[in-house]
Amino acid sequence: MRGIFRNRLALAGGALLALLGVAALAAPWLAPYDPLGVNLPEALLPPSPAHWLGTDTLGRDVLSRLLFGARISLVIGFIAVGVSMLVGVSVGAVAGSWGGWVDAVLMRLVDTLLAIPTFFLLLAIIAMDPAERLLALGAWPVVGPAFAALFQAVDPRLVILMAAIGLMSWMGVARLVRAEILSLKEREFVLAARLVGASRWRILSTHLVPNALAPVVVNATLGVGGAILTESVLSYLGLGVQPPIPSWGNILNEGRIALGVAWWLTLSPGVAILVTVLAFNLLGEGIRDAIARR
Amino acid sequence: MLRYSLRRLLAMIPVLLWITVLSFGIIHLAPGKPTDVLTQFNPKVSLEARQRMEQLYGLDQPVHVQYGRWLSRVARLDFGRSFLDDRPVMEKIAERLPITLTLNVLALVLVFGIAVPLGVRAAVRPGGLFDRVTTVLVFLGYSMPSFWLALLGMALFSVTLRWLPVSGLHALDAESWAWWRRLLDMGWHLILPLAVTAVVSLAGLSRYARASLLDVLRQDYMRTARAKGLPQGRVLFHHGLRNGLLPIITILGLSLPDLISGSVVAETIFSIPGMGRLFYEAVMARDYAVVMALVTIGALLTLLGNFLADLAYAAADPRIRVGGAQ
Amino acid sequence: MSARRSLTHGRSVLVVSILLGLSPPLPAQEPATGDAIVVGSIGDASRLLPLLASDSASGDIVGLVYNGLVKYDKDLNLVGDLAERWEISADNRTITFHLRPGVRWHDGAPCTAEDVRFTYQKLIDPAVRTPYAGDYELIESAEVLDALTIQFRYREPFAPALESWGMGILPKHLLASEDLNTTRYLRDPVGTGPYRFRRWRTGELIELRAFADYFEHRPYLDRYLYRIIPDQATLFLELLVGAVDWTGLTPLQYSRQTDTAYLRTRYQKFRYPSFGFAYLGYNLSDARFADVRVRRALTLAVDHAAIVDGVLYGLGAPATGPYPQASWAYNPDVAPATRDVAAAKRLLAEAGWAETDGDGWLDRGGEPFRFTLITNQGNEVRRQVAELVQRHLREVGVDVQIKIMEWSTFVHEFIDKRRFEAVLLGWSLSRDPDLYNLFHSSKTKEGEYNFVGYANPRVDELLVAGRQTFDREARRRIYHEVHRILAEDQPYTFLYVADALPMVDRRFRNVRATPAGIGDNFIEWHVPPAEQRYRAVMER
Repeated sequence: MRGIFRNRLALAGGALLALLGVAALAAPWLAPYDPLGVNLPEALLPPSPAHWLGTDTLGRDVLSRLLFGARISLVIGFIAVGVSMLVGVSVGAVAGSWGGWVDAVLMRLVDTLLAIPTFFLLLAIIAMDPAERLLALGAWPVVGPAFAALFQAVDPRLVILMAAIGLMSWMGVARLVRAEILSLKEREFVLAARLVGASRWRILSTHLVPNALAPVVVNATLGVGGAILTESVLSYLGLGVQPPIPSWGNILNEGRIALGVAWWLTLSPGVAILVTVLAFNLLGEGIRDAIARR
Repeated sequence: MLRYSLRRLLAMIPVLLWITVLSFGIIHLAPGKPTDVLTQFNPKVSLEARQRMEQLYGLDQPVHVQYGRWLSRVARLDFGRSFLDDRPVMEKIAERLPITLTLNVLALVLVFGIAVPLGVRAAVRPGGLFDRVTTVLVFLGYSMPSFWLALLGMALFSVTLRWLPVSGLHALDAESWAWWRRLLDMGWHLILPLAVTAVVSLAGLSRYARASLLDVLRQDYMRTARAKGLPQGRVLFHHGLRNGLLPIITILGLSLPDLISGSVVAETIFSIPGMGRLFYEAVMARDYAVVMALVTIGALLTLLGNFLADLAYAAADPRIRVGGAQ
Repeated sequence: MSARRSLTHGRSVLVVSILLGLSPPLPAQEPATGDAIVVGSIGDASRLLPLLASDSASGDIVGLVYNGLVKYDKDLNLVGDLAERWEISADNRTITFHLRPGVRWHDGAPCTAEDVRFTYQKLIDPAVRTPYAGDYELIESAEVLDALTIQFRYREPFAPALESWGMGILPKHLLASEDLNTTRYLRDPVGTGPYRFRRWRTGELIELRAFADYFEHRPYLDRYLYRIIPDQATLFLELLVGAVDWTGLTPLQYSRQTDTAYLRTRYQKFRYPSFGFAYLGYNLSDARFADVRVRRALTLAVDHAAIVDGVLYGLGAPATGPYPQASWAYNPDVAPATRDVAAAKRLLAEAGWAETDGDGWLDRGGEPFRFTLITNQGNEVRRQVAELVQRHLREVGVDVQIKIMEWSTFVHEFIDKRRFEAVLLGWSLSRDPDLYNLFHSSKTKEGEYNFVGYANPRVDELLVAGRQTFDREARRRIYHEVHRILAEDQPYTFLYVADALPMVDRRFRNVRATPAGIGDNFIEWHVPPAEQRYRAVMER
């Protein structure tokens, strides 16, 4: 009974996210208007057959902006979580399997970062706009050109934003993975592998990490929703995705200024964020339950 | 136990130093100087005046010299003066702390008071109607951007229904009222901010409570207790809650730093002059002295919170004491 | 007053001399005293001493608590405030101020010429962290002739000198032994103004009370409550419930959001041009922008009217130069720019820019005409203007990329270091038309304000002459020529002068808009007893 219900909610969440993913991918074909198409005479129109979700202060179609905003918001969610997983799993795995002074140093670093208020880290990184400084590394081999190429392809501020949100949350993942690996290390199958002479690297990559990943997956699913929320809050402070690129966060924030005359400007992005984050959470919970029952 | 505590306390010192070096570095790396806010882009301010001000504030020194000076002052518990208004940093913090503490303690009580019973009740019959409804509801709250929820709340309760004040902390005439009336008035102003904070943060704790209780209910001794034929309620309260809620007490310990760090978003939208806004404004204005003081105090409290949480665990579970955790 | 949105950025530039002034005509019947006015502001004040107040909130409060020697009247003429009259010597180098007799500080002590000299000494004291020292550096000597007379001698004639004495005068008897940077009077000011300081709850509220012995007359409104409401949306909701009496509106709010029956009956809206302008500045050391034809073409390509209509909702005027129409320095012969895409293309073609490779963008020597327009974040209006400029220039084949960045970074990494191609910004100006700091070719060092690198010998000459000429007519001619040359040279594309848009509760009487704004007669504002909202509070 319980399993069916849980699954049903999780399934609903998953299906919704799949739908959203498709919509985001197909935004250029689905969007009825150019999301950046300024059209002043049509500013602040309420929802109508021509503009299903109305228009904003510059006369841009809100539906089109939401569709393109979905791309940005989802990408921010996934990349941020990707960064956090990559760093967190690597650090946790190394610390957990090597042990000794490596473990001590890494965990001290984690402690240090955990003790700095996360919001400070985030604000400091984003407010100092490090893109310019990273580009100034141009003279360095590999690093310089890599940044230059990356920033050529993607708006540097967007890269920084995603990296910053991700870097804010890898410490928890690292601790989780390390703890998981420490307990796995004592399990029979790992001991057996060690007995037959498998290398440390091999044990780590084939036995430890894959088995430690289960709780991390739950963490990641919830993390994507969290990152989307974080971006919207940063947008409120003027530090999120910068216009004209639409993200759900900055559409919502721009609508805030027109509150009272154009309710549709805040309602639709608000609901979009709400539904998406909810879906990620239900999915995450479903996965957690599935793992717990295993 | 005493030696363990002492060792842990001593180990905090290098971590704390690291944090200050790191924070000092980050904020000094950021472009811009605190004097910008005072002088920048005012056609009446000459270049000479600007340089003179930077010199007066010691900003023309290399970063490591500035750090050295800062550290030696902090060692004497002097966090310096704010660049924005030249007031002692501690005075500025002291002015904001009471309201942030009040708000956060109330919010904490409210959140724990609602979330834990919700989680426990949900764990009794996982998958039941109550569990399902609360799951969706608490996640709904969590999934809303807090500033949006706050605006919706203000529009409905303050503008449309006129039940609550829109923002602020006191009525304009409160100054001349009796203390009890002032207190009531402030409570009145805090309803909306508290409600928003609670709605947004219920999910985390109630899910945690539910999960940890479920964990306990699955344990062998619970099964034994039930097999012995003890009534369900007694099993739940005697064995389940006691063990299941232990980790939640630890969370309470870990919330210590949260008590003094306000939320910029809630404070901005509800016009509450708390620590969150102080911090945000300080970062944006490159007010080094204030930022460093807040980071250092925040970090110290976090480390203390961790330490207390570990102590609580150690007290509850002797194995950790012997192993010496971490 | 109120939550003024500055053209430059969130933290507005304070021009001390333009703050609240008072005008003499007395109504036939003495209006009732009482009631309070609640002013809504986005930002909190920081230091309540005129020398150190550098943000608009501090300026609002300081303007009510202190007086300068002179002030601007409703028609923007300099008139006496603490000074009853003054004389300027024939060589224009000496100003003698005669103070009004009988003026008292809020603590009862008399205000004398010694206070003025003390204020001057603090202004030029290198240990005082005042950003305003620049205006007083040309003073050679300050001599107190008698208790009510002080004489300033300048090294050279300096026309903005008179305006600079709008600076609030400090009480020597209280501050002589204080370190001005840290004195407690920064948070507990004592002045000669119509309102005396009462209390300040940081980040929340500043309260002033009417000063009964004010030298003109006791202000009618008993209390002035300055509420700090940092969120624009919250401030608007507070208006909807009538909790704020006076605040500045955004153009969007003014034109679209305040048209409800409740707000119309409850509030009175005002609009008048602000002193300042928004502009598109070009880095003139960039070879493309060094060509005046290119700059003129870009100005022709930008649709000024569309920007004013679309972004300001018509609440402003296209700018032809640095002065608003209300200023006597404004040259009415400079024609406003009207959009002419064909002419713009022609000028660009003359400068060698043509579309040859079929990508839709103009190019020259194989390089497309593409530049980055930078501006600061946190200013919704400016962001929208950037997006419109981008669209307008696209139509002549110029590709504009927008980059919006945080203020501190923006100024330090890009403006100061000249690392920009074009910039979208605004200037708030004082009433005096002196533009030496903005356009003189000597003001191009890092951190100075001629960051576009404009250099025109004739303009240099005129700007120096303008500073040294006292005769209004002669100055008018000088600045009219400056205006004309700037319009020809287009170191900036002057975009618009926005209107200030205050909204005030209707229960206040005598509120009216003049060229100086609405606050200049604040002490005449009053509320008929039947409509008063806030009860009198006993003075404790």
